Amino acid sequence: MEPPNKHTRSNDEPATSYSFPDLSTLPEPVLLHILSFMNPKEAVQTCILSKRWRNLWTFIPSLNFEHFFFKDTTAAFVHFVANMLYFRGASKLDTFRLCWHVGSQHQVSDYGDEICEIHVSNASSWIFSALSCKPLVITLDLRGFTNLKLPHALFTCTSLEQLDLKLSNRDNEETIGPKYVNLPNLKKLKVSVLTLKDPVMQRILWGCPFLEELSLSECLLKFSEMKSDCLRHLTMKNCQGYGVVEIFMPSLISLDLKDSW
Amino acid sequence: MARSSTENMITLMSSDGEEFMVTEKVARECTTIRNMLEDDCVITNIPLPNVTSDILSMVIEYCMEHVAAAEKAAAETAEKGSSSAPAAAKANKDLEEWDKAFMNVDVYTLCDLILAANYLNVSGLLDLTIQTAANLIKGKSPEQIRKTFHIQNDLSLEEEEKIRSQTPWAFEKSE
Repeated sequence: MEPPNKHTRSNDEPATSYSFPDLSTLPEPVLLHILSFMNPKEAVQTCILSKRWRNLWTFIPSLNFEHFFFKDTTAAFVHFVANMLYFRGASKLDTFRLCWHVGSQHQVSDYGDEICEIHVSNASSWIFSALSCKPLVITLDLRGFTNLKLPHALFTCTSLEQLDLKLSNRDNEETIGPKYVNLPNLKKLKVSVLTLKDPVMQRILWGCPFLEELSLSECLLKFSEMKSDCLRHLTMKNCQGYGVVEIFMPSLISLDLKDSW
Repeated sequence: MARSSTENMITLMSSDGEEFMVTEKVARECTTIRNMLEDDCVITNIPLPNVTSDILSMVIEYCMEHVAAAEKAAAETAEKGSSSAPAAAKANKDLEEWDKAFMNVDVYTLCDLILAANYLNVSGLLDLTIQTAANLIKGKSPEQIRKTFHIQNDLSLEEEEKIRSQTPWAFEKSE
């Protein structure tokens, strides 16, 4: 016979109309869902609520590190993110979002080149940690970084289904220059404020055999052709092209060239 | 699209034996029920042993409101050929207000609703209730969180201190 309360986790919480569930008696996926909706710092701080909560934070499947919401100094933000990623280890991670502007464009110079370089290497190592957890969705909003070079591993992450890159590197052509792209599960790719050169763009399209949606905004397009058998939706918003770009996409359903060229 | 006048009715039965008649469209808002209906399309009576009548009536209220809002939006689009942005924005805002008022419940009811939304797989209601719970935790001290959610603290003072000293980086004060 089936046990009567299959859906409950402990024996002392009967699934009858008379139980008064408190937060701790909710199933683990639900508690993790709640923690995912919180600022990561507050989520980790729940570790002292009770024994049940002690290690829960290490299993949060969705991490959203947004500097702005931390209300901390940059040093404190860096210290927290590095520790959280280190101590959570390789627990399953579905969604990773890093939104770190290092101030606006004007403020970058205040930091000086040296500090900026340290932050660049911090951001890269966090992205690297996240990639080792086989995420499905990665969103990187790193506007303000000028010398950023994204780790090559980002372009060979086989679990990835969605990638959203918001950068501000139209002057730095090396930000994404993967020698090899293998993203066999990627369905959606969004890129903004980047320079995309000839071999790189086509390398990305070849390396994403199931890509359905590609959206480029405010990019400099330094390539002359785009070929993809699978792409269904192509959007180019406020992009600046150099000359003619030929598009060979037999599966294309929608093409939106808003304010480009 | 013409709506069929003979809409299928489904009876949902709560754990305490109360029966609720709802349209199939409303019942389909619950993914768990939708899957049952897709497996066996002649099913008309569904027992839900994990959901009490007062919670089930709230879940149904939520589903009916959201189905009605979606139908109204679809009807307006059909009438005018395209949806007008301000009207759609207002409808969204109204529904948000309704959701907010709907979440004015005590913590026990909130936890019961989370469990029901999770079991019946009503994604909109699950996100709404989970967000409400997360908002209740935000900005509170551990003591306040325990009090709000009736969490029994089974850690001794020494154990709590030990955890704090093992994760100092999470408790550093800003600035």
